[in-house]
Amino acid sequence: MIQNLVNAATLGSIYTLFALGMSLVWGTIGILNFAHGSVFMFAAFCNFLILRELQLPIAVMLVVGVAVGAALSVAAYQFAFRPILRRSKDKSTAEMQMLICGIGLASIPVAVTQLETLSNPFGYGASSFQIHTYDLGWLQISNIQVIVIVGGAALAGAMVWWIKKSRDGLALRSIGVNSETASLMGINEPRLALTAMAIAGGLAGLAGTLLTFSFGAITAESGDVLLLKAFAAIILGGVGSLFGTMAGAFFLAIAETVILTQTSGSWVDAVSFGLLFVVLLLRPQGFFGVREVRRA
Amino acid sequence: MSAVRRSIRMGVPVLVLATSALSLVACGSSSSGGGASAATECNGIGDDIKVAVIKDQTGIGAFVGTPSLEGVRLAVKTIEEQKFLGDTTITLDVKDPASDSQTGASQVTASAADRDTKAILGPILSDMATATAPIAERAKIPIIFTQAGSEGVLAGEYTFRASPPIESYYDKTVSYLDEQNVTKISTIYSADNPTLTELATATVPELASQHGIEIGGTGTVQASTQDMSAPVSKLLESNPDAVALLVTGPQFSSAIQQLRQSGFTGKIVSYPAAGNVLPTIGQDAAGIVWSTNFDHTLDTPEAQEFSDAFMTEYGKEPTNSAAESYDSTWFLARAIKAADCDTREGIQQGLTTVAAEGFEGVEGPISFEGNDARFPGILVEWTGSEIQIIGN
Repeated sequence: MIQNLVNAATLGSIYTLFALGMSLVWGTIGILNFAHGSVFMFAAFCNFLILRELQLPIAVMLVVGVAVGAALSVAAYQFAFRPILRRSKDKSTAEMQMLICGIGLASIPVAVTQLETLSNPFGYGASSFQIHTYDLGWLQISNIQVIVIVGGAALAGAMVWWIKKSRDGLALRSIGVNSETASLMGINEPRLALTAMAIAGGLAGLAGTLLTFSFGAITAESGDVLLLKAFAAIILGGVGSLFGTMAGAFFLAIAETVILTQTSGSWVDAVSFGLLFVVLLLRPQGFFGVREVRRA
Repeated sequence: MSAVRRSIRMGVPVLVLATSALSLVACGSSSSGGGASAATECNGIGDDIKVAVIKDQTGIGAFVGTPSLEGVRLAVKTIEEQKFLGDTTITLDVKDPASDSQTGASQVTASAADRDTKAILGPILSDMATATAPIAERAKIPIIFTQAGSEGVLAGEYTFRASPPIESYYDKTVSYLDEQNVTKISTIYSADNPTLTELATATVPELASQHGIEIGGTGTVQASTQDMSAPVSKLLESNPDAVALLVTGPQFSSAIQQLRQSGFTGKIVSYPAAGNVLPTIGQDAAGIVWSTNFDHTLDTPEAQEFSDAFMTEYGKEPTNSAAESYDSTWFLARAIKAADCDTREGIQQGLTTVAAEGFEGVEGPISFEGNDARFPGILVEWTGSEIQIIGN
């Protein structure tokens, strides 16, 4: 039981790190970034490429993951999403164009990785970091699980604090409520949008590197699977609520763990997304969303 | 009204094109006639034979499709260098279905409609193979599949499979467990994969029962399952002394990592795809055993010659999928030579003749049950740094 809870906490932390960034940019600057999964994957892949040439400690690899993720995400905003936002006649057209643009952007890193790896899994076998398991008798937990759970909780807490308490967080939330009014109040939207994209990409890159350590290997397509889970976590928690996204991620992770341990594993997606459907029927705004949408 | 006219203007050419394509395929069907009479109409082998090669270069099947294509190309080079078919050359019409069944089906349809294409070296993914086999069979164009191991791949006399189904040599793996005094085995498998489902739900239980090995827990995962900690925990509740890992891609590494972290010290067995993934995992995967149809360390003269040629050509060791494709291309060349004919009907008869006799391939002596290849198989182990043959 406790072992399963720890397993669910590890999975939930990965989902949280991945989904928080997506939730942040969707809830504030209104970009549903479908390239988020490939940012996650490509940051992990860059670490794999570096490891082929030189050994790095895990701390440096995490920094590289964050840097690559942030750089990719900022580039996507600067060269794709921002021009769309600038040129679109209305918001709904821009949202649709950015959605399609995100799908197109996502395919580029995936194709590059597929070509390089021939769609084989890639991992950090060459890393100097060794996974150790601590056997407490009633629980077995590895050092990477501890890093994922503690790191995930700390970063998620910091994110929630930042968006709620800091001036930039407040400014971002005001953009989420009404970007035109926010601009009239002197809020520098382009700078904050870049900041939000960098944070989202950095979190994705961090999650990608941690998940590759945790699972041993990922493939070029691994980001797509997580994208769907993150989408479900955000909807479950309530669009615009970072705390809700965390709750949604853990709800999904616990549901998956229970289904995998108590039933045939082939029901995982059906039951997980069935639960999502039920929640949406009973509480359309999600666990922590509000009826009148006030983003972030 | 103008919209209707526009629809008609666009629709008519599409209809004409579609009808033409169907007619071409239908011509292929009608012209084939009876096999024997068609062969007698044959005027020997032409200067060039066009063969379609449908192997995934992108998408989830690329890790098998790419070495497969390399195997095909090396075989064609060898066939031409040896002048096995005299001065006849083989032109490969390479297509990448990108691991998408619908694309694969369209490519087989297009190749069948092209009367210059005499045979197809078919897709490697089971779902794509089962989708394309009836198309080739209806069009009466010989198609040779490799890798695709599920049922339904062989749809009639024009469809052949040059890879042995895993279940035909999986007894080697279970016999190994028996020799290691394993009494209980648990299985974890990817339910999206028909080959693995069949292996986990039918082959392993049947073979285990024959060897007096009890089946412990059975864990099922989907292709989308990345974290294997929960299914592995469930699996170990039955205290097995062996685990069969019948999963795909990164699930291998996650499952092995979880097994090791859980302190599992029993035997782990798998299937040939493990050979592509275990180098990524390294030492943690040491000791994993599986039966396969080829390894580059196989010490037969044919295997060594092939491995050396592959190394010279591509600078790397060949995988079992490269070997299968190499043998399947030679199977086709032998068929053309046996029939002394390069029509589709003649090649089909040649393939049937060669299949009935069997031949010596780089994988070993290849025999056929009908149109389905059979090999004795070998037992291999991942040592942590390389694959080693531990039994023939």
